[in-house]
Amino acid sequence: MFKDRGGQKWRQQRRGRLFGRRRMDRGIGGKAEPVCLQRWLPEKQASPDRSYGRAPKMIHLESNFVQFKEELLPKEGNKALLTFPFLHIYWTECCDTEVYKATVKDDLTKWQNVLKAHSSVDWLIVVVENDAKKKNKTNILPRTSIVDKIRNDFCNKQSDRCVVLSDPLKDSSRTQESWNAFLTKLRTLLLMSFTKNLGKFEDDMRTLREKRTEPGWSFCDYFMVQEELAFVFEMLQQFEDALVQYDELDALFSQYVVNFGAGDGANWLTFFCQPVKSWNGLILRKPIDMEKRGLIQRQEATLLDLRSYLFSRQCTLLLFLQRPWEVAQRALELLHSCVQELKLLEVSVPPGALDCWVFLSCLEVLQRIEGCCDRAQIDSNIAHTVGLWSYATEKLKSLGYLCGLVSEQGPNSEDLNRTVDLLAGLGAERPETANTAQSPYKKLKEALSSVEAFEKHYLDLSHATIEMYTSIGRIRSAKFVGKDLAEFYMRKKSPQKAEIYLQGALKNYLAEGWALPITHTRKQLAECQKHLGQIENYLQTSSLLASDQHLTENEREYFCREILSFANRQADSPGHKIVLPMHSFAQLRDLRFTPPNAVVHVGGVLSVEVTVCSQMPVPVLAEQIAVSVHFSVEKDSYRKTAEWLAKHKTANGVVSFPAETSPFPTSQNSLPALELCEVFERSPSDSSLHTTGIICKNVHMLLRKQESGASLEAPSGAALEAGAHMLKRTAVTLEPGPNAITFRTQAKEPGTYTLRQLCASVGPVWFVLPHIYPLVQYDVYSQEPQLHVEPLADSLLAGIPQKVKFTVTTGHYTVKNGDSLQLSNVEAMLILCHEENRAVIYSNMREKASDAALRVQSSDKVTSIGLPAAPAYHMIEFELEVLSLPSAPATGGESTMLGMTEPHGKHKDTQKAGHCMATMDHKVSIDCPWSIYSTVISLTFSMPFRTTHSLLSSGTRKYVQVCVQNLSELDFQLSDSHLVDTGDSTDLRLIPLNTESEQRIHSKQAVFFVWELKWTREPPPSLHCRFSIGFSPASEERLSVPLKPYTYEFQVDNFLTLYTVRAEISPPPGTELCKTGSLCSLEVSVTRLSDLSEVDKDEALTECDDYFSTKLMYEVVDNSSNWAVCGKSSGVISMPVAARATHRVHMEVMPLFAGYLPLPDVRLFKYLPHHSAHSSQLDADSWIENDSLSVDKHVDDQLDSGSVQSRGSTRSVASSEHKGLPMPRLRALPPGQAFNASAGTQVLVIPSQDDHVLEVSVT
Amino acid sequence: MALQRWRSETSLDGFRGSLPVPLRLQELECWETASMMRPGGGHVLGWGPAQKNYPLYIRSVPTENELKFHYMVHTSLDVVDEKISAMGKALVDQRELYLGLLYPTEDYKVYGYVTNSKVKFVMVVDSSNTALRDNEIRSMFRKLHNSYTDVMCNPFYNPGDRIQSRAFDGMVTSMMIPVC
Repeated sequence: MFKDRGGQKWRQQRRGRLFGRRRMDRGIGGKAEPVCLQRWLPEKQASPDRSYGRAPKMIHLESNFVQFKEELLPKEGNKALLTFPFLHIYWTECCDTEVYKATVKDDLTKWQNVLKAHSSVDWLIVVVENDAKKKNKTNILPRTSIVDKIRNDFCNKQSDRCVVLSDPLKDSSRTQESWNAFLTKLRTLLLMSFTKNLGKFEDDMRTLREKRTEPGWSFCDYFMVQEELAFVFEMLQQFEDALVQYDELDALFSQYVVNFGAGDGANWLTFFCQPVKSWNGLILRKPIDMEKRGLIQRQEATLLDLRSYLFSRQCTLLLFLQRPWEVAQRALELLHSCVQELKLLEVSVPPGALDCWVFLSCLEVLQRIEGCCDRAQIDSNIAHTVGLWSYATEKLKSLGYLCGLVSEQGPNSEDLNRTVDLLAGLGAERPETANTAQSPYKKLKEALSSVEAFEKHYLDLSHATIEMYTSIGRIRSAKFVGKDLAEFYMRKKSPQKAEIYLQGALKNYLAEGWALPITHTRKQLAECQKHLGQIENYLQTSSLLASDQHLTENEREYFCREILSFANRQADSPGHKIVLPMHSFAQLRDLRFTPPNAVVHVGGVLSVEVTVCSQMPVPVLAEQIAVSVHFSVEKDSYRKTAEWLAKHKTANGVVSFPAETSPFPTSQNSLPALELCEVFERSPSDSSLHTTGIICKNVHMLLRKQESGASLEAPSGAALEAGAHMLKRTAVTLEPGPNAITFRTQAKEPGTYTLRQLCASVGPVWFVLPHIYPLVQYDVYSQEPQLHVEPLADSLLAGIPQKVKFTVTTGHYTVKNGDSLQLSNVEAMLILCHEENRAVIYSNMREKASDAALRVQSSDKVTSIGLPAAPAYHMIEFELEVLSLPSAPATGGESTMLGMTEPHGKHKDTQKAGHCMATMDHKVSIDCPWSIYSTVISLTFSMPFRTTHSLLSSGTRKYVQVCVQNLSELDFQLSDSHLVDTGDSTDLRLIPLNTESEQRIHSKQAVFFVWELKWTREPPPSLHCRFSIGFSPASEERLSVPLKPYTYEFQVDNFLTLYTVRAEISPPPGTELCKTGSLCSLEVSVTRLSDLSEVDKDEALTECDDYFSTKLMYEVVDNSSNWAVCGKSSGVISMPVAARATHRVHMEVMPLFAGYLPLPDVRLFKYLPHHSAHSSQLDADSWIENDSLSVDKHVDDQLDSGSVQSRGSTRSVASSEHKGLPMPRLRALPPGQAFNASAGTQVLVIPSQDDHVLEVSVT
Repeated sequence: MALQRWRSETSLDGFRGSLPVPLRLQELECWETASMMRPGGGHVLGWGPAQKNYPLYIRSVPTENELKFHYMVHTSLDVVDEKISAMGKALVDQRELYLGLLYPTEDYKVYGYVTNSKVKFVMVVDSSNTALRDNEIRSMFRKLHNSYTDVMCNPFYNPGDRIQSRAFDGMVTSMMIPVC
């Protein structure tokens, strides 16, 4: 009665079992119904799990009709749900009451009783009515009566439990109707029963599960129960629900295992702990592995059996659900957890057995997935399966190692025994895969059969795994598998194949800075390279390993000795150099120059102390350690001076190098900062800027970083630089840790030396640091001998001894004993020699070397200074006292005559309006022993004083006043003031009016001296005087040399008084006093005091009959605006040149203020007619004025100053622009010639009465 | 209708697609926890920063098998990268930093976590330590993250440098002393 509804064979079988059974009346309905029923029944709606609150689901229920047998009825506690009779149907076509009463009723009653006995309430009675039958029988009761009877007898309250099927074989509408009614009823009842029984089953199952803590509980029994439920769901195509059942079982079992591990063991679990005897892997090709299921049912399954079966079911369901990738993922979890569980349960497993199981299982899962997916799907889901590939590879590898298939010699007998044992555990190949060429079973068997076959399979797997990892971008995983492969190749003694994988992995680790993997991989690589005979690479790797902090001391020493022994071996055959990078061998820490400024003169000794931190674990003897130096001539000669360079170097001469971050160069922070500098290029012709730019100085550092991953292991592109300049040390033992190595060099050529490379050689092995960075340079300079002479003070003062410092920079010249400086003497400057003069010799570093007495010898022409002997590049310093003779700037227009005899003594008359000191330059020519040329030194002395003189008159009496102004910061003591007439006029006497002979003159103060001039005969028109005064610094108690007095020469002209000007203001007539606002009369009288004399002979003099007259112009000026001059304020008078001649002028003035008012000034000028002949050679004192009224104020100044003539020369230039003008000229009278008798006179002016404002001017 | 819907739901499960969205990857930290009962177990802890994936901090208890854990953590970065790029924007939106189990091995479970600044934390736990469930791992990562944030707040810490903070170290140590 099994239905055959398409699909696979296994499914038919299951369905056959699964479906509910119908009770059929014997003999009736067995013929035709199944076909119809199958057609109509399938689609049903049910809600089997409404109790769980799940949504109703459309299910597909198939049913089987089975003949009723009492023994088929489920007993109490039956757990089989699939074979459960859900609905019992009694078929009858009885239409005869008699027959009914006789047999059918009894039969029905018996049936009902049986059902009741089995507490089955799901039944249906079908009465088939056959018209044909009815017709045959006469004693037919009305049709309904049988049905009614049955209903009456059996369905007391459930009238729907009885249906009528009329003429089932007829094709009438009535038949159709009754069929429909019947089928509907059937469906409803069947589903009702199904729902009820399923619920009951689940309840029972839960009850059973709750009993799991009870001692007799068996997991296997429970397993079978829950699986039944799963089967049902599967039948209903509720795969998700079915899967849940298995997952629950899985979790329950896992929990038990975990609890067992925690010491909470369940009895039944010990059963699963039996030793593993079979490891034939998962079987996923069959929907249900009946063999394993049987084992579980019989409680004979091992843990692996149970797990395998469980997983095969899950796999089947997942594949139904089209979730193959979950299969892969779950498979991996399963395999891991099985291994864990076996460990946890301490199940004894033969070595390798689990590996076999896992390997087979992995491949089985993969093949199963491949079987149900197409290529493209698989390719796009590699991420899910690659784990299994990798796991299989791993397991095959360990099997290979276990069975001696990886070693070079092949397996030994023990290995072979083990292999046989393992193969035995696999059992026979299962029939379902027997025809498959690539079955996991065959693969494993083949792989374990021979070394070659193993290699083939292992390589296939590995490559496939690596490829897959790579394709999905899991580079790290790929490298890791690659490393295993490399290990395998190494075991197989084919290092050339291993190398690429190791290199690849190492590169990856280096790039990401994983120290331990780097070390480990490097170690493997070293071995590989050793086998390959890549000496250079091997040595480099060895050096890296020898310096690796992550290795043990012993390992490091081993690699170090590898290098050393190679070096020793090759020592005999020179010529071949192996260049390795330095950083693994030793690291440059710092570098210290002596002298610290790293500047040394030619021939000087420079030492460079280099601290190198050896990374080697043992002391290493380096035959040679050298620093190659690049030499460049420094063009800028200024930079070559020690002074300049000293300023621009680090103070202590230490250059520190950043610690080379050994395995972590990749940190972004370790990128060096940009070092930028600006560049300006100027055109050589006019030094205008034509190019600017920015240069990155450490570009090689920045660019190198980007390829650091590769360059680290590259066999050093560092070419050994063979420079002419090397700093070398031989036979240096480098102890582990910091070593100080000192290089000494004698500077030869001047220029800049850049330290480029550091290399250490151990035999033929050269460790090279290709670039020393930051840039390290030292400079060698050559200096010419130089002499500097400079005053100690800010400025030198003339007249007193001053100290001057001599500095001889010897440069490359060595000063010998007897070398001397020859100073040509200057008359006006003395070099004072002291016995105690000492010269101090300093080294180049300004350290005092020695001192020696200075021999100074003076002769007339030269002063010779004997220098003490001094080595090259030293400095000799000494001080000398010099004295410049004091001499004032000469007056009287002949100042240039003084000092001009000596070409070196030039006066710079820089007296301007300010208080600057007059200076004198003395040029001293010095012959130095190192040069044939003389050095000319200019010393500037300043005069501490400024002297002025003036002529004072009182009527005809004359006085000379000399003013000495101290401009310096020093105080001086003045003594012995003298004024002498340098002319030969004996009848002229100068009578001093000064009281004190000694006077102190303080800084910035002035002292005045006055002499009265007396003469007996007519004095000469001009008077030459020399003022002299002794002076000495007030602070110094005693001077070693007598000081020359300070002199000042000047000339006084026309000092005799010729005219007396007298002005008088008289109040208006009738009034006693002058009043403001009222006109007063001013009377000016000019009186000639002497007859014609030499001084009158000029153009203004006119002669007429022996009567001489001269033209004078007077002018009344009131500068203080006290007076208003009414009318003409000036006029020309003709003055007779005769004594007592008087000229009077009247004019009117008006006082503007009240009080004692000084009289207005009356000025007198010589009025010179215009003569073109004279205009070209203007007198120094002449002034031409267009408007006589607006006399320049300068004139006033000049009149007052009394030093008109000494300053006149500067004026002449200014006035020369007037030349050629045909105008009368005015010449001021020399101050001595006109005497203003009314100077200082005041007039009382009273205010006018109607003035309301009283203004009083008091002067 | 109902049947249709149900079918489509289940089919979604099996073929969940992944959208690779490139993200800036930063650091990684890994560690391994083991139960007290199993002397073989230990913790490894470490991580590494931007693109370079170099370890900022790595710690393993006990230290015997350190190399193995280093390899394991390094390899796990593949999966971290994959997860980060697969989650892409979704990750940013949901602010789910926990990456879950990266991959199991026979003996260990490797979990991942990534901060918003793409610092990676990786934790390797002994598989036999069943006391550490997802929630525990999650909270451990959160603790780790907090402590890492403290480290970053230190003005003297240069982001990207190896972590040498004693406080962080102490926190890790306290975590590696098994919770159960």
